[in-house]
Amino acid sequence: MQLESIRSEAKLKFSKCKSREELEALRVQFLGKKGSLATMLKGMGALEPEKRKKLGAEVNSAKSEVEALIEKAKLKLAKKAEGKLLREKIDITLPGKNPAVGSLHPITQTANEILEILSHLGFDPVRGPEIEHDFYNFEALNVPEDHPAREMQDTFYIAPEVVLRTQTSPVQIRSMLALEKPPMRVACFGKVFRHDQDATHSPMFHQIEILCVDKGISFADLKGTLTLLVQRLFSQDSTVRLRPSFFPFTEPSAEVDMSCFSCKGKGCRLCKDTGWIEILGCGLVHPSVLKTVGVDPEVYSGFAAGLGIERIAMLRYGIPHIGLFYDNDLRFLKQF
Amino acid sequence: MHVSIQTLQKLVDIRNYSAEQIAEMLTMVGLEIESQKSFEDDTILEVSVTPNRSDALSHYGIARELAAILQTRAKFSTPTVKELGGSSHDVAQVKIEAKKACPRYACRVIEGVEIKDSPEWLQKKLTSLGLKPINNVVDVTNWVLFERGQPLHAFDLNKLAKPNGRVLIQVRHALEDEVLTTLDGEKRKLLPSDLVIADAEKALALAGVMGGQNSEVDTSTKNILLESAYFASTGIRKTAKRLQMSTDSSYRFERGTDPNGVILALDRAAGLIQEIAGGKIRRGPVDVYPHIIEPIEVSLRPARLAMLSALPKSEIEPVKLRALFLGLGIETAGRAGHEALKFRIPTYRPDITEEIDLIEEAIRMIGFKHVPAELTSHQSAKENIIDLTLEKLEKEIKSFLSHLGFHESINYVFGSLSEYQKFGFEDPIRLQNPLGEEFSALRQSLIPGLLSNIRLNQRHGAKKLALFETGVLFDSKNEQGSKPNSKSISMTNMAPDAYANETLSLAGVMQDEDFYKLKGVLESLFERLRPSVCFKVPTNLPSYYHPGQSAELLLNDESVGFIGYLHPSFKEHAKDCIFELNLDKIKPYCLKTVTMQPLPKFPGIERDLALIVDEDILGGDILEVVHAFEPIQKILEDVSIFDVYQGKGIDKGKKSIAISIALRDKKRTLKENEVQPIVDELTEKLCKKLGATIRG
Repeated sequence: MQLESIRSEAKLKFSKCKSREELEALRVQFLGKKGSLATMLKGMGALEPEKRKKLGAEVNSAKSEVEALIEKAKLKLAKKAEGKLLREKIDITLPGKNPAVGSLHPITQTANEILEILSHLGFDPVRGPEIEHDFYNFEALNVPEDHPAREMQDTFYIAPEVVLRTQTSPVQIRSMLALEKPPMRVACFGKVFRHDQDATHSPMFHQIEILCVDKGISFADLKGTLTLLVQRLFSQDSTVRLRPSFFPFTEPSAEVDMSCFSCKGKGCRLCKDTGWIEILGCGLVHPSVLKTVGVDPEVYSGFAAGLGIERIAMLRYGIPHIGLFYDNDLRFLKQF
Repeated sequence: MHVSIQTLQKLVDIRNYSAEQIAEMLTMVGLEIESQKSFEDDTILEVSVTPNRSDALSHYGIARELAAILQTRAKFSTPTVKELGGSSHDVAQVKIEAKKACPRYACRVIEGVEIKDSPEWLQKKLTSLGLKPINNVVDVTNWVLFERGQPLHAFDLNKLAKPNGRVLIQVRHALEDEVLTTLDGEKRKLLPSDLVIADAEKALALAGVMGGQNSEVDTSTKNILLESAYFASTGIRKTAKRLQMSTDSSYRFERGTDPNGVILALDRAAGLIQEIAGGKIRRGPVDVYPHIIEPIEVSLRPARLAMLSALPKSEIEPVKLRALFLGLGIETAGRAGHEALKFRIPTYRPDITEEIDLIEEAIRMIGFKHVPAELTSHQSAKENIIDLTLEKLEKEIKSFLSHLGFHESINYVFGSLSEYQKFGFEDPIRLQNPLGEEFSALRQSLIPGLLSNIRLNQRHGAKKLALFETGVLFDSKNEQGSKPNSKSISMTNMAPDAYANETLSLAGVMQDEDFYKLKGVLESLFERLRPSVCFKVPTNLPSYYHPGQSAELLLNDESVGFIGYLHPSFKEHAKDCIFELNLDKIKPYCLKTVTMQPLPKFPGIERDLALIVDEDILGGDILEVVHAFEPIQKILEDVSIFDVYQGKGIDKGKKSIAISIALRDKKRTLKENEVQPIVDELTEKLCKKLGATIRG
């Protein structure tokens, strides 16, 4: 009979249980080592086997009942807690408190990407001065003083024979002189200057110059390198087309066009309906340039290429006017 | 240069090709077609001719290329002249004094011409090429120039001096102070380096550049002297450049014309003049050509071509090469030893002088599309010219600052001299030929550019803007640019012989921002880059910083930069905070590989002290005393200021500074009772040294 009252007491108490702490206390009260059910079993050893068996079975069934009651109460408490949390809601539609976010200039981003691709191809970054001697900027690059090629590049002068470099190519000369002996693979990113200003020309812009000199370098190496560069930079299915051209310090020289990424070569406004976009100039290093820096052109050969970063950034991002790069207007910078 | 498809069609059979196809063909051999437009029933192509290809600056030149591409023959005619009357020599003689500058001079005399407008076909031709028709004689000279690439000039024979009844044409250098009014009406002061065509009395024309008014062909002209000559490119180029006169004639001479095409063009023009202006051509041209310029021979090793071009063998068999070159007028001249072929280069191709030029011609005509694309094994440059730390440092700084809310600017390296002077840069390096005052001097600080960016953005309503820039600053090193000698150069790094000192700098500006915010940014940056830079009261502050609210950045006692508010004289920027940092100087101390310190095993103890000091005492003074206090040094982990207070509860002229001291012994647990005496002694020291009292 005592068992019965334990049962009904448990039913009542568990139904009124209001917290996890209370629940634990109740569990101890009924199921603990010194709990009421355990007490019932004390002195059971003195009973006859028959009675002992019966009592054991009854207490076990009461134990299961209490355990079920605990589970039920737990569930109820959890539901209640959940409901309470739901009422503590916040307005998740309000705006977040953003930390200020800055930006890297689109020129920096474009150059970084190109340098990264080149570094995978073994081209290490080098730098050179922005104020150059005529010797490095022109003469050593096979452009003697009265050469008509000087007219291709209007030059800013600091002093007689001292110029703001018109190209990153003088870094070719400096690298080859500094390294003394091939093989060499370098890439130079930097500012260059031309006496020119309109919608597509800025008196200052950026170039990346690539130079590779080694035994047995051929035009095929140049084509392979540039194809990979263009594909990584624009799209895997880009193709390149080389057109003969002229640069005094490379021969043979070529202009490189890539298939228009906008129309996929069908012809559109971006590529002026040609399907091709001109992106860089390149060629095999002219034997006289190699001779100037003391490299034997019969033993070594090399290739060089120069990329205009503004041009590539304008293409990639659809920037219509080169001047936008140097206004540093936040409304522009923020977009990148 | 513009060319007419109709004219080309008469020179080479291109009937089966559209203008687009012709444009494509020319573009792919290096004569890029920049535009294409219709002119009545004709199509005009604009060809961009690279400076090495003087041979392509005419319809004949372009037709020759097309014939070579199409492997056909161009239909070039040899002009014939109907000569009448006496010999030209009876009327005109030529004396070349400047033999180097003028290797060949020829002329013809045509008498009894009638000057009038050109016939419609010729006017149309010239207009379509962007030229203005003038009169029949002048138009013919212009037309033949565009047809054959040979510049010509017509003089009014009656305006020339005839001392013995004969004209004496002299090709000579100008006299000191000689003056010539050219056809454009400009009075030109000449130098002895200029080449002139003169009669016995006066200069008549600036050779190869422009004729003179004193011998101009006009409506009253009856007899003409027609000139066709070969001038050396160097002299013409110098004169044209100095006088800033680029004419169709000088443009061609500068790049090199064909000395052996002189008579063909002369005869072609004479015949055409006779046809449309009438007159009689006297017998024989006067042709002074003392040393005939012969075609040179250049050899080519097919193996070398194969190596450099990587073209498939089938494309560069000797038979194919010979045919390809023949199409360009380059004839085979035998063999040079076992390995080389020899070719004779026509004099209209002065750009071909060595083997590599022939290799280029071969690849150009065969086409880059036959060159395979390969990637060779990677071989890096050696370390001595690569500064990977610098590359990494710049990248790290840029990404760090952009993540902290700064936007990167890129400004011109040149700016207005007067603007720079406002910042106290009295004598920056100047450009000799700037685009204008606003681009006249080279920067010595990135701040002027950044502030102009702030102003621009302010006008667009930007608030609390933060900008930074990295770039080179320029400072003169030598007075004169010393010309480096290629033979004596031995370089251990990239530019020991640079003309100027070029310093890589970092600068930033925070619009309308607290000093301590910007200082915090720099502290975080230094924590990241790990140079031990400290902030000190400045001793050598640039004048554009606020003298009382700026700090100097020191690294090993060397100044590496500044931070502070702008000087209030920059009214618009009085609330803006700026910093500058010399990256070249901090670079050796940055991004060093860290050696890991063992994690602390024993607990530390923290103590806070609140001190009341005179308001002149700097927080840094307190920290210095703590660091210098010997007994604490072994266990001092960190000391920092966490509060500064002035106001209620603190006497006027005083302030309260609270510091937190973290102590730890690496080898054992510190005990309270051993720390207390040290802290007490430190407190005493602070009170004594700085006149501080403990805030109760």
